[in-house]
Amino acid sequence: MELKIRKHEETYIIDVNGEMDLYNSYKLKELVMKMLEKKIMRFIINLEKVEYIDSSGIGALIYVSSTLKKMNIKFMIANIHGSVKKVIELTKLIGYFPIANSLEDAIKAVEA
Amino acid sequence: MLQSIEVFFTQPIWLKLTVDLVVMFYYIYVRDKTDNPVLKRSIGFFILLFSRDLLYALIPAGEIMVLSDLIFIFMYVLWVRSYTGEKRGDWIWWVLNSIFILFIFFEWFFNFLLPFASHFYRIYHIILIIHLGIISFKVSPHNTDEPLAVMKARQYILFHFLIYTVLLIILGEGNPVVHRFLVPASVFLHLFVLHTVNTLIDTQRQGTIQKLTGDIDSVFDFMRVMGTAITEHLEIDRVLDFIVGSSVKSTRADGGAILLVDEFEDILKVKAVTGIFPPPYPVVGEMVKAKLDNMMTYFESNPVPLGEGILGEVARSGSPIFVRSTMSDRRLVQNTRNDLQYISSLIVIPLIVTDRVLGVLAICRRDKRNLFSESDFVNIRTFADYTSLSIDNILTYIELLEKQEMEREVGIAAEIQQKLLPRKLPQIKNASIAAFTKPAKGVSGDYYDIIKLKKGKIALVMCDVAGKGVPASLVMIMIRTIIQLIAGASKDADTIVSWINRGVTGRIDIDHFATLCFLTFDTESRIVEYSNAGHHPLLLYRSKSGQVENIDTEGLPIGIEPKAEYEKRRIQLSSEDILILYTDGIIESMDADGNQYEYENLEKFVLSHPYMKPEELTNAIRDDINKFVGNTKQHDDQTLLVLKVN
Repeated sequence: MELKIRKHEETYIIDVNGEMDLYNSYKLKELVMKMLEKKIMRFIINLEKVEYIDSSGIGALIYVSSTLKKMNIKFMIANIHGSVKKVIELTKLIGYFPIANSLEDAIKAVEA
Repeated sequence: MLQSIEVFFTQPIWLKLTVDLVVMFYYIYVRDKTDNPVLKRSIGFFILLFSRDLLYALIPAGEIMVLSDLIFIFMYVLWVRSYTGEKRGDWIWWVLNSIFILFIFFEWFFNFLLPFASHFYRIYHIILIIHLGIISFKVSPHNTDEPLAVMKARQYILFHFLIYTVLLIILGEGNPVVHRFLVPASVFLHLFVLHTVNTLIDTQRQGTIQKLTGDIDSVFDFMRVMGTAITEHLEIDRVLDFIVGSSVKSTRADGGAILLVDEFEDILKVKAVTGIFPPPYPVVGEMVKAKLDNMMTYFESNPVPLGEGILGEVARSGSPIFVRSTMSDRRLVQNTRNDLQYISSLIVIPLIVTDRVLGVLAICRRDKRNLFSESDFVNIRTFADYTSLSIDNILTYIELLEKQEMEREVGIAAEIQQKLLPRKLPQIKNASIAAFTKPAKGVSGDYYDIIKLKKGKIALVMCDVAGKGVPASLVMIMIRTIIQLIAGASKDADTIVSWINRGVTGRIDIDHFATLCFLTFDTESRIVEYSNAGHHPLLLYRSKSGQVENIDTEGLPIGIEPKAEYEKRRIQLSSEDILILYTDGIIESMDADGNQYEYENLEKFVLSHPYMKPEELTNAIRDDINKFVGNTKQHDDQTLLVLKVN
């Protein structure tokens, strides 16, 4: 799994590329925690290039999502699809995560 | 004509029947809400009441009243007995009553006692009422689990029966006052008793819930301390002190102690003591007996040989001992004589992990009027079960730290998990069960359990914890402990799941959430009650239609949101139906090209082999997956549980 950060005005977009599983999901958690130290207030996690996610990956997303919710930081997850979407649906977490269908929608939502 | 109609409608029967019906309707209303077995069975009482009054209107014979009143009084005797559980000497009353009833019939036909018969009968009633008085006033919180109903109602019951019987003797059986006033009024007593019992059941239900919350909280406080102990390079003594402290607190004991089996010798060493816990064995030396401090020092510094005394006995046999009252136990004679050494009630529980006795946990009370109850015993056993696992965990963990082999962590977690999984699947009525679990890389995030509940029910749990290693294993221990604690309370499946969720959430890192499915199977009625927390739906094969159904309910996984709500579904199974629970690893097994086995294949496989026994089916599915996967490395833990109705 690779993580890349890019900036769209005040919003930080994390592009995840590859499989999110037991062996690398902690990286996403660590990255978000580091970014929080820099007082970033708008986050998007882009899962466009993620084809596989396991429960640890979901765990990392839950961790990030609940931490940011508590800190009142604007946050969206964009572009879930295929097996990732299936897993999130199966675990009934669709309503729990702030989900946007496209990156544009996500940007609109966090900048609103 | 008009007059005869008037006579007909002013007969006492109408008032009686109205009152009877009111009571009966109230009873039915109460019965549908309760799970009290005695109350559920008492319909006979009200039917008897009703038919008695009806019969008396047709045949106005005093014998009917005498017979029915006798039965009513005796039913109250049996009711009180159902609380105390004490049955000794009851047969005398069964015999006496039978003789008496035969005598009444005999006299009814041959009339040899007239006109004294009625008085004679009523005097026997008074004797029976006195007996009822004696047994109901013996009921106290010390000898009965749920004494309140009897304690609240007893004076009214006795007062009523005495007044009723005395008035009948004074006024005579056929007196119109008796039938227009006394008999209908007496029915209200039964209404009153019913109401008292019902209100109590309601408040008790509230009480149980509060108590369970308390139990779970104390277990989790304990969990937290253990957690910090591990991260702070734990001191085992501090943890043991905490364990004894919480056991004593939660059972309101006067003192407690933990003794652990020595590594090299066959002795038990006292490791932690809270409150006052006098040695439950004979003490030598006058100096020791002279002062409480001396006695305690003596206890703490003298090891107990395995097999000796009540503590050694428990450590050797591995079975708990509950001495409700030390007065009646010869092993504890020394603890009833000396004031300093006095113990009124004692519980000793072995701490066992996989057939090995680690030591014992003992608690005592020192007040004669306040003995341990059955529920104290049950609670402390659950607690000890959890304690054993934790101590074993800590000991293993200490070993790990000492040897500085952190890479063994995963192996240790796997060992803990091995201890959590059911060693043997239980044999159950009307169904058979099989399971298999195969961890990827030696340690699993999957957990399943099969627990026998009360009333012929069993519970099946299938759970997939995110992440691996010791933290995931701790989540499993938590879930298992909560289920063991509350499954006995015969709650609905969704309530159990929401309890698990409330217990776990906030106490674990949120990324170790778990998907969990909980179901109970009633071996008598074959009804399944199912509740799901974000796990895969239940696969149900219906033998009648030859089709597969997916059963699912709404609700977030465990450990994310404390207020998450869950649903339940009840499903009636019939013969040859198959239930299958599974984890991701089964349907996401991958072959060399990255293709997944998929749910559809599992379903197809079940549809084409519904005749197989659970054991055969699990093996066959495993083989089918292995064939599909080929030489590819296993990606995720696989667990499969199959239940088939006979």
